[in-house]
Amino acid sequence: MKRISRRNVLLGSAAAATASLVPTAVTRVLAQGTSGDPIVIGHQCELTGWDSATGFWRDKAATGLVDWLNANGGIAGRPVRLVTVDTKSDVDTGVNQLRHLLIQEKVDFVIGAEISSIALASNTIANENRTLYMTMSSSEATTGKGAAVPYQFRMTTNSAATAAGAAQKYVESIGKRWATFFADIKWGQSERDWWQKGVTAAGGEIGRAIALPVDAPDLLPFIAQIDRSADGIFIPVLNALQAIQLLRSSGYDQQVVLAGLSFSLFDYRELGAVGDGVFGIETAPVALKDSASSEMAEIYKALGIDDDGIHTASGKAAGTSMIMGIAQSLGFVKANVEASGWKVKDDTAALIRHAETVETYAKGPLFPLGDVIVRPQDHQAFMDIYLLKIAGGAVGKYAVAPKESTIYPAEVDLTKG
Amino acid sequence: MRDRVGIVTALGVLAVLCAIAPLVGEFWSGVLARCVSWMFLAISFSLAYSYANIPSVAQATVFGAGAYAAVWATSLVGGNMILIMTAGVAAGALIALVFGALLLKMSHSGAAIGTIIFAVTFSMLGNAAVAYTGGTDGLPMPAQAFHLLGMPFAVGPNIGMLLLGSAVLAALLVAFWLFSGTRTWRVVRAVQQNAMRAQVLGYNAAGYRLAVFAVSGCVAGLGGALYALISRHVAIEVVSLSMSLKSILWAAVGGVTSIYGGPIGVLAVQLASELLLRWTVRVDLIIGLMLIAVALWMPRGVMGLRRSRSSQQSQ
Amino acid sequence: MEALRTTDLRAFYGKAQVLHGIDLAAEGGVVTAILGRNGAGKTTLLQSLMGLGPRVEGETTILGQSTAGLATDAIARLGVAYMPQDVRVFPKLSVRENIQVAAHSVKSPRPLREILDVLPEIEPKLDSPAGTLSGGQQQLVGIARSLSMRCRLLLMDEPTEGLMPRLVTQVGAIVRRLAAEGVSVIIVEQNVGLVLEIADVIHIVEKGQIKWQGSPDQLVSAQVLDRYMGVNVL
Repeated sequence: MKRISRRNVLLGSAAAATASLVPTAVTRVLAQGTSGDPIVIGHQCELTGWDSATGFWRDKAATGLVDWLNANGGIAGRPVRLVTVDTKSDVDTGVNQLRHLLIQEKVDFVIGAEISSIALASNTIANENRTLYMTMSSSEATTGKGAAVPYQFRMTTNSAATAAGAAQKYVESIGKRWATFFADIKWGQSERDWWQKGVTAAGGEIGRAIALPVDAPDLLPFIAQIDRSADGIFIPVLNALQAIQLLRSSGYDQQVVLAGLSFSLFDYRELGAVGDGVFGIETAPVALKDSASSEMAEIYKALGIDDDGIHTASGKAAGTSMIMGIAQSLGFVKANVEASGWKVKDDTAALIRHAETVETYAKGPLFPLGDVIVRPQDHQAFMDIYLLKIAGGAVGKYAVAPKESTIYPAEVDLTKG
Repeated sequence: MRDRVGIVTALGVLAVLCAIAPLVGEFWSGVLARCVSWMFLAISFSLAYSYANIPSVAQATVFGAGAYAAVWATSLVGGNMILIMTAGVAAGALIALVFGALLLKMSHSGAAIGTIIFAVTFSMLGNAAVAYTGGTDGLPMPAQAFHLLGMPFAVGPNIGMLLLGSAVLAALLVAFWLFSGTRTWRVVRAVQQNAMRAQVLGYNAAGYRLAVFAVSGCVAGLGGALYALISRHVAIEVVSLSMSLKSILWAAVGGVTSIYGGPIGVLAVQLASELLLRWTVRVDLIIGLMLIAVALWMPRGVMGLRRSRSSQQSQ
Repeated sequence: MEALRTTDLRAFYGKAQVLHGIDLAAEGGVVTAILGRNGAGKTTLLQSLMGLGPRVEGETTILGQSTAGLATDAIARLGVAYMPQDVRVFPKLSVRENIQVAAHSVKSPRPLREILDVLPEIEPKLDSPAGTLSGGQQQLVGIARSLSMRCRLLLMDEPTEGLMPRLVTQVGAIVRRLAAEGVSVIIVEQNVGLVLEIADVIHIVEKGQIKWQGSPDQLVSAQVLDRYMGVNVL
């Protein structure tokens, strides 16, 4: 046994003190089995602020999966260094942090912010800097006309895709008549519009959509306007927890469908009894048994999530859509770096040209739930959408909308230069 | 009476920023450029609060109006930066005149609440009017060949915009300094200190306050236009209540009763935030502690320190 | 020339009526004093004339012009100076600036030198913030401002409050000097001795009405002070 000397204690204390000052531009130590200059991936993440609930999962996923990558040969045999910056859920800070990643940290790739305003302000900057930006925004506008840029890819879903895929299933299983209760912000309006298209395309009908003004202190006057004769209520609001509780206490017993990726915004268990029967739309189920994927099991293990989808260290229910988005973004980078022969940042243009020829990413460690299609015209990925339902206090898989059903028309064609 | 120390300090700060820009590199030039745009916001709050006697918690709404006006104007006037900045000034003045006319009918505390209501209302309207504001996605500055006085000019977070913003701000501060020695400014100060007393001397106190508030709106609108040109993107957050609260904090740290304090406050808070971000996520906590310290030990802000010092010396 | 005339002047704070049909006239060059107990309505009367505070009904003419519907600053621009009872100065402006602000409001202000000849006490304090002066000195600054404006009607609300006797006498002398220049002065005072010395006409106000009016000699002989002010102050 090694003797503990006073010198060791002093050195250890100094190291601990120094470590406490280590910047939150977190760096990850090179792992065994890799060699050469690290590939630096910047992560523009909502670690604090109003969107930190989803940022928590993206940070966990990015950190854990980069560690996993480094333990499994890295990317093209090279180690991966992750540099995470906090956007504070604020546009100015988010953009500035991106500039820090690009100019000072000189990252090779960026996993972008989830907040659409930050993502939209950032992708232009990344594009000008010729740095590949893997957006995590779920606003379909991010890959739409006026916003889509060549150096951006999206390996997560968006409002248009989830509505296209989920609406059909829910109209079939819940009913034709729908009411919408939406947050009167861009995201809520977008979800409202795409849900309307999806329901109408599926043969359903949408009644009056009730707008909830941003920061409205009392939801009740707005909830009271919801059509009681509807079969189902679609709720794209940020305070879904409060909305559902008030709906139930106001006597609305209709089926409730939350907007896509809502289960990453809050822990579904907080709904308690009123949560039973609530539906959600995600890119991955929460319970491992619903994914039937050994690759997903590996990811859960790497991130410290148990089979029920609960993060052991924090006790939180996993935000699986966030985890999937990160995994697939890293998978995209890995696959295209290795296939295109990317070596340095100047090779990114060639990487993009190569990526635009790759239609499908096969099921694998970083694509754990099946093949993912990437449409070259707008660099948008399409994947199976999981319709989840809370029953008996647990969220389980209700149905799967295949990726083909989530495809909507592209607004741009980036392959035409 | 003209504040010689104040103007020299403020111009000195701007000169230092411009001088170090080539040395600190692209990233920090961008940070400083954005800081300069926020200095206009801080100054506008000082003007509104200390000279129009309107405790405006809605200055960011005016700043944001200028920013959006700049984006909309770019679509109409192309890349003419003079016209774009003028659009920002006009938008700020218009919003301030409308606000101000309503606020002047309220008591002092009523006006504070009134501005909060304005800020929240405009934020809600902006979020809902997605077609005009882009809502939470915001609006990008249209890609244009920008030009200033006929010369091509690159917008964005760069040295050029830092120098332009600093030059405009310096001109504004010098103009204010010159104006502060005039009889009209003397009347403004009198109105601020005792509106009723000024009224009985024959001055339309409400008119003076509205004029000063409109000028504060022009300053905020101009800052917003510069912000839009620097950021190349305007999101609805820029008109939020929290942005207005930041303007109050900047003005408070610099010294809310001095126009020249705003720039110092912006730099102190924002540079501290930027540096802290490299080390911790607890930035807001630390900034909050810093502000508590300022409130306790420097209640009149940085510019107020010299008054404390001179009064101590006279004792 | 008649500087002021009110006919059936009534003032209200909400539904409460505080002035009940005041008929008052003041000529140029005449010092008119208003006496009365606390709460009688003296200050309200001056405020009503300036368009401050209460809602008024009735007719008021100042320097030949009806003041109906006029804002306070417009009334002031007719040539009226008002020295209210409360904070009289702009505290952060220097004494010099305080006087200049008043001077700027008129076309031909009285030169500063002339004012300082009448009020030499304020000359050493010209560049000091007015708020740092004593209460009495601030009073003098208020008077200096009124002198600067060359007003034709001067309304003074208890100008000698808190002043030492020497300054009280000085204020009285200034009032008489202004009257000699043709200014109509209406002065609300508690200092009956001063009033008897300087006033040409005295009105006693009680419960918002003028209960008595006359000359100082008539006031003394009628022995009304005891009845309306509760004490024999002579």
